[in-house]
Amino acid sequence: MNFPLLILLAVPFLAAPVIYPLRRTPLAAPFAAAVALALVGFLWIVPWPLATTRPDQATLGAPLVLLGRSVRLTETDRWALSTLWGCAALMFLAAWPFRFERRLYPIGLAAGGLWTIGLLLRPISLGTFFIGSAALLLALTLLGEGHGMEGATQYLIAASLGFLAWVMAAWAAEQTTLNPGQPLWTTLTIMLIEIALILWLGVWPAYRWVLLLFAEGAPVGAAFTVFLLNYGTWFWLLAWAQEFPWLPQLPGWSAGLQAMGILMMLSSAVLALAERGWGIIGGYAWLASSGLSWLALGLGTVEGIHLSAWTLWIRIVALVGLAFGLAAHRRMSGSTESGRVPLDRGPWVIALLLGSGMALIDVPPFPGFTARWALTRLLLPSHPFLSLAWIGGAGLLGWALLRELLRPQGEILPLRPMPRSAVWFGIAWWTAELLLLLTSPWLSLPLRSLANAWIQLGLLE
Amino acid sequence: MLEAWNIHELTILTVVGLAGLVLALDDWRGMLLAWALMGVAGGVLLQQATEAPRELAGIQIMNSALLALLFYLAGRRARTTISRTLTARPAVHWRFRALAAIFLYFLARMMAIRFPLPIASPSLLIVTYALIGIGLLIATLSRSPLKAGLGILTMLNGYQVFYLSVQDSLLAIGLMAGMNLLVAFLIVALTLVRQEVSA
Repeated sequence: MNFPLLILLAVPFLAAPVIYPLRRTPLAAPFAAAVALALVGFLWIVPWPLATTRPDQATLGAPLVLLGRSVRLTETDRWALSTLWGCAALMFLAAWPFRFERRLYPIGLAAGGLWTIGLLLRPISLGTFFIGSAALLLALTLLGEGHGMEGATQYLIAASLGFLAWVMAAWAAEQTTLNPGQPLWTTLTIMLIEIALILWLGVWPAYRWVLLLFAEGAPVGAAFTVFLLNYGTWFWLLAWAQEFPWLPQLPGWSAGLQAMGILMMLSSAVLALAERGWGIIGGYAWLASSGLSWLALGLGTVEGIHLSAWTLWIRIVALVGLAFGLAAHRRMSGSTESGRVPLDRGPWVIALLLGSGMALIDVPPFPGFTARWALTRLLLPSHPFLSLAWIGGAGLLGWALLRELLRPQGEILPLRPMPRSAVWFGIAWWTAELLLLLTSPWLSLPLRSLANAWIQLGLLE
Repeated sequence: MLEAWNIHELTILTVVGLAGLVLALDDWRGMLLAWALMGVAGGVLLQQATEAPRELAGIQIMNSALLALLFYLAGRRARTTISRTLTARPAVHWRFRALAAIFLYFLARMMAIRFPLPIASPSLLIVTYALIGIGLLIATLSRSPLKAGLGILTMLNGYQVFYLSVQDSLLAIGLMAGMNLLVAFLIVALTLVRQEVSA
């Protein structure tokens, strides 16, 4: 029996009910963050013995058999889970000063635990249920006192539809394996996976829920939701490609990912011009930045895959900054209305919102610029107009941010004072961005193993 | 044979008709009753089909009845604070919604003929396509979380009709039922929290 793996799976579910009664106290956030960090530490401290179940795949320890199904941890999963739990710890800490984020801690741990089981469980068709339930459960993190529920309802619709598409895709993929040579099943599988991705990642035209989450939902809960869906799906797709090696070889795979990435980047840039509000513009910036990761992954080249894995590191700091900025803005203004906090009343809050927005759209000197620049150089010879279009897209999003900053304040309603935590968090965030700029090439070296897992699948053209 | 076919066809029409009622009705109690009856009719349909085990059809009926009861209790509790969000009407008139349901039924029939799946029976496919289409319409058109949730569950019910007929694994079927419960729980939470906020 692989007890360490059992502990890894059980800890989030044991910690969630302990944290739930503490959720209104200041203890909940550090406790949840400590559990998440302990899980990362546990993944690396335990001396997992290498076991080989399949000739092409070595597992860390023997697979765990639960109800006749195997749960197994590989080297790639170790990196994936470390990234997920490490980022989750950052989110929990960012939510610490805000009472309206209290649902995030227990629900975040439970959702992370379900996602972990889904990633490690085989067959994929059963893992889908755990991944789907994690995605659905996240709807609860969006509910905070005084926040509109429109976004949560729309998210629930998108998450349920996406879940249905994943379950059907898993069934169709199993049929493909059982009935080789029948094109119906492969077409159905790839089509359903793309529908699921469109719904879960918020690709145009199913993008509205992302904006509503940032504009109306509890901000850190919203950031946690989009983070888990984006990063989790990156790892989940890798699990699919490992389980069904024929999948990345299909012509629709690369083309679909590329089209999705381009659509995310360009549609958000254009649509952002018609919108107002820090939350909504921040949501568009997030969509554009994750679009770049998916486009890079869809290229199917070594550089593209490395670039996509690298962006996982640099995006999270920007996203946490945006979430904190929005939450602090919400606390000061006491409502979900945007543009009510003038620069002189909340300089650190506005600086965070502006800085994180700029970091998400890869404005220099933020570290994301290196990713955008590298991708532009990669694609410029073959797709010059496209490269220019997404440089222009970043410009349009930058304009939307600047317009939000310079927007004339109407009647200034009574505001609460800027939270002191905004100053400390602001200093820490700007320092982290600077350090990330200087050290990201070295920090992201470990993520090479994630990129290599994709590369080993042989999807290179 | 003809009689058996007619009963089967009648059950399909009943399931789709009740789903259409959920789409067209504005009163939350009426649509809840229609949704519960749709679940029961779906169970009866599964019982008539040879592809799905009969015991599962019984569980499907019980599941729908219990969820309807849960929603009713949540709705009653929400009504005592502010009922505005429970009865928020969709922007599209009920006549158009009813027409859309009829259109989706015929579309589902066409799709079952045009895109048949080798291992699924055409009659169950019609119900699956129709319920997924109608459920999607309910979810996207409605303004109240209760009605949007019923739309999501209608979609899941539609898929379940198909899933039960092609899936052998009891664990997978149990997990699917678990997902239904989770969605129901989230809908109740959204309905009640929304009331808190409105209050």
